[in-house]
Amino acid sequence: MGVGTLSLEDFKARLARGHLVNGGDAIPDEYRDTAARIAAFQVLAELVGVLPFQDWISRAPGLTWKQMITAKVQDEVGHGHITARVAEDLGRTREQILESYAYGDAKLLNIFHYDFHTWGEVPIAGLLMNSAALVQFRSLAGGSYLPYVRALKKIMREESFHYHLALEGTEVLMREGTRTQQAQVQEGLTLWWPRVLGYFGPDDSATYKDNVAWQLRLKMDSNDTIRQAWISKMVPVLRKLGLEIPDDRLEFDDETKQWAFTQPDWAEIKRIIKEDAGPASHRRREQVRSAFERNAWARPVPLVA
Amino acid sequence: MVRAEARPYEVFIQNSRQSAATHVGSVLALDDLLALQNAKEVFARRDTPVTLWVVRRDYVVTFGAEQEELLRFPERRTYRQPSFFNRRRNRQSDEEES
Repeated sequence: MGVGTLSLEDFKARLARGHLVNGGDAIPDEYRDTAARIAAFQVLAELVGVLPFQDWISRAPGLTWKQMITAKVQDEVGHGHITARVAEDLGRTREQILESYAYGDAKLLNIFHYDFHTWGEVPIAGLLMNSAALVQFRSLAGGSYLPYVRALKKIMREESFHYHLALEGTEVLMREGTRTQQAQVQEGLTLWWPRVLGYFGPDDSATYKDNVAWQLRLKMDSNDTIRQAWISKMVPVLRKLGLEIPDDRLEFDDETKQWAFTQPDWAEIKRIIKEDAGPASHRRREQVRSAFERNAWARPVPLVA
Repeated sequence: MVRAEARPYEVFIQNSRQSAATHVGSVLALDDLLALQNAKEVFARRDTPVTLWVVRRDYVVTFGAEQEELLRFPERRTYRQPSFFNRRRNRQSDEEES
């Protein structure tokens, strides 16, 4: 047997019936390309997304926090390696992926176009980003491409450590921090709440089933379903921390079982992603470019003949 | 000077002496030792496995999805399953009752 003879439509139908794909299985090109694109996108999110945290290793207060942030940074780089393996087995090398960002026009998620300005901002921003990633990964882990699903399961386990690390950091600041630090945490939430709402992408509930990634069972839920799951998860956590969510319209509708919320500024988000218009966009690309060049000698390590 | 090509290695972890080694993923490496080192960094940073194995992917011999048929349990040999005897006993007792 084999899938070589199957048309893309037949393959979609098989996937819709619950067929799951293993590494090395024969797959249509469109499936390979879409899965590779998703994995490659995550490689950049992991490797570039960790840079704002790396900036704070030397500035975190005290050795314990420096160690913990170092552990998180190591983990995220590890996640980059794990997802890069998924992409490589689908035909995209990690050099291609890094080059597509360093020299090409590969786009980054909106949340990676910013810097942190105070220590108070680091844990709360981390908390929002980690919880968002967890909800997103939980959805993706129901997908059809098993090597990616297995990678996500490993990643989620470590992300859960990051979530607790960020939660602890925020709690300590709210409980024992100075007034200035507490104000920094609140300010961090005010800044990052709309950014993370934007991370999930525009509402596509009317159209997501036309998305080829959904038809190939690689995207499992609409953006808004995932965003709603995140809001449900985080509202009680943030309130318990004594923080105020910066949205007067935020309210749970008992009838629709949905949260009403103020939409982030989508035009601004789009501009930041498309035009590298965020405050850290250019520096980030430059950081990756210079690391890529600085380490070029180590990539094809010569063997002694 | 010979430039090596990085190759995929499959990674297996045995988490306790009692358990079997489990496939956990793969790494790309230039040689066996670097593959072990990469696998340790990526897959064993949190846990305390008893053993960690790497095997070059092209050394792994498989019956894969293409040979699914070969691996399927033949239906005519149900007597090789323990449940076969339960079903037989049930059938006999049904017959006795009727």
